[in-house]
Amino acid sequence: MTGFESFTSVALLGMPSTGKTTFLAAMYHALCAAPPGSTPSLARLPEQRAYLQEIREAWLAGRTVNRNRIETGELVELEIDTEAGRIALRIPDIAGESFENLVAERQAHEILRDYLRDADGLMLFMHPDEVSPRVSVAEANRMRALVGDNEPSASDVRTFDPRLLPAEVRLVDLLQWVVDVRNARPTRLALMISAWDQIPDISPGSWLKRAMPMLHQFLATNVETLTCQIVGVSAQGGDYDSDPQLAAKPPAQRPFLVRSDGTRTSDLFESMIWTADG
Amino acid sequence: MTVAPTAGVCGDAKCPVLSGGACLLGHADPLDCEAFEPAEPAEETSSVELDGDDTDAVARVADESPRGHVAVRLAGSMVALHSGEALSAYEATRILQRTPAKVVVSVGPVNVGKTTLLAGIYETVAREASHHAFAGSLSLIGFEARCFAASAASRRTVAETERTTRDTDKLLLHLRVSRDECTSELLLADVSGENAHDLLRFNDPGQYAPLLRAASNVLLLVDGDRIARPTERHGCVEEARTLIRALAESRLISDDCVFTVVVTKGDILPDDDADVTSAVAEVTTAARNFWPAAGELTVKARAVDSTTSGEATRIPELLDLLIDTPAARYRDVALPPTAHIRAAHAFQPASAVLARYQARRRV
Repeated sequence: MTGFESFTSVALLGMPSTGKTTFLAAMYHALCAAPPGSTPSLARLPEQRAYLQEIREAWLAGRTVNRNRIETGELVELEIDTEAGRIALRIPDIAGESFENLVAERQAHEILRDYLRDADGLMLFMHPDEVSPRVSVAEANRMRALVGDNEPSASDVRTFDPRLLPAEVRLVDLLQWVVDVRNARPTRLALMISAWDQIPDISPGSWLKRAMPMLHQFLATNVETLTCQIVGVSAQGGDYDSDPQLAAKPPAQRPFLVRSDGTRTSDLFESMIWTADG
Repeated sequence: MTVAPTAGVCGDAKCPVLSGGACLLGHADPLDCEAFEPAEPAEETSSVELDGDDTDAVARVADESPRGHVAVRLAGSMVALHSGEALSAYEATRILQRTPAKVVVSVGPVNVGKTTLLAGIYETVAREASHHAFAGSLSLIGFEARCFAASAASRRTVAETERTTRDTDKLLLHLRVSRDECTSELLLADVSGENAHDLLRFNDPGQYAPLLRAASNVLLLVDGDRIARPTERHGCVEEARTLIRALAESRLISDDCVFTVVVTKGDILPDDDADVTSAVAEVTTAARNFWPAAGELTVKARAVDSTTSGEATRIPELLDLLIDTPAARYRDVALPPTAHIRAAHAFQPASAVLARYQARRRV
């Protein structure tokens, strides 16, 4: 690991409800709760911390963290001591709707553009619920015949809308724009697959290849511009609805990452530090 | 502080005019440039307040937020992304100027399956149904729109492909494909079949003309559904032969171009039908009269799904053919200072003035 320059920035991006805010909450708690002298830890409490406190409290209490529906542009600045030295993480909490609107409406705020352009590393969040496999009309008809479902009526027919794009297409489109904004300079990208506690035994890379083959291919064929690490993450450690006792579990034992090779760690910072080191 | 209105959108996302610089084509006023579209006036916001500390373009709007305090809505300029649709000749030129690309032109009448074929190529790559890997596309929305009416998301019970309109200059779908760790750029033309009708009856190549001049591959599409019907077979064959002759005599297609007869709707064709085989051979022979190396391929573009192997559709074979063709490379030719250029592009326009000063050479 090389030493970090000061003010290394990592950009968090992803569509709505993909786990960015929950991850931020879990990470902030881990930093605040770190024993003195250990790393990574907060060098000092951030100046602007009301938002962080709010989401941390929700996470500790086992409540779903409120995600911001409107981009706030609030800048989260965290000075973190790591084994490689001190880094300052600048993470504007930009709402997932900004990224969703970017794909559908083909425009973005210049602030968002500058943020993605200037970041040293990227963390792209996605949720397994986003997966929408390509199903042809013929395949759907066969499945309906098998299970005995009724056919949709003529009034149900939909016309094309960019908001109906499969998730993998939206993510590829987003990444293509990010690469373009960064003038195709080599970038480290951590692809964070949220809610990994819901995924059965499979490595994150294998899961992505099966669930989003187009995105997987895109990442594999663009390694010159995007060096990618595919990671499964569970920031909550489980599902609050099915496990009401989750909040009673010691916070340090809840979140975990699953690396590309399938091994597990409780170090939430591993991928972030890797992207920052690019 | 009022929200600054967006100036407009340029068809070239890299044009400096978007950030206040000079137009790439040299227009003093961006509004004179064909590629520039002025934006509609921005809506006025209400109750805009600023804190004294704000020095960036952030406006606070009195609004409810999920967190119960004043939400902050980002204001300021918007930047345009590429449309994601098919490319115009101007936009495709930008690609050709950066990198060699295969320009593939499908010629055939209405309903022969041109757009379905292009959708099938895209789906084959996207589903990883072949030995080709998806490496990117500037026309993702264009492809997805063409695939939509055959997808379950449309809630149709019968797969369809929407008819290609003639009233557009967005004719080329961009696709980047990787094979054996080598990447190829494809520009796939999607032109209304009405242009084939005009070529057939009036010797007018229409929208085909500039594309054929730049083509590295021409696919002459023959309707497998018509070939399969005895009462329509002969008419279909003669139509194809006439189209082939019209294309050859137009002298739009270069000698380097690879010509292929593609029979569509192969899933409808009966197996081992001697009459069908003979009819297809007639068309291929007609093509070889002008292009001795012309090939023939029958594809099943509609059959691309999770239950059909890519090889069975023969679309991977078609992709290999396209990838193995030498790419076209656009080379700029110096233009005289008196030439009035509205939109310079690699696909020769109808204007005779520009045609004299533009050329394309193969690598």
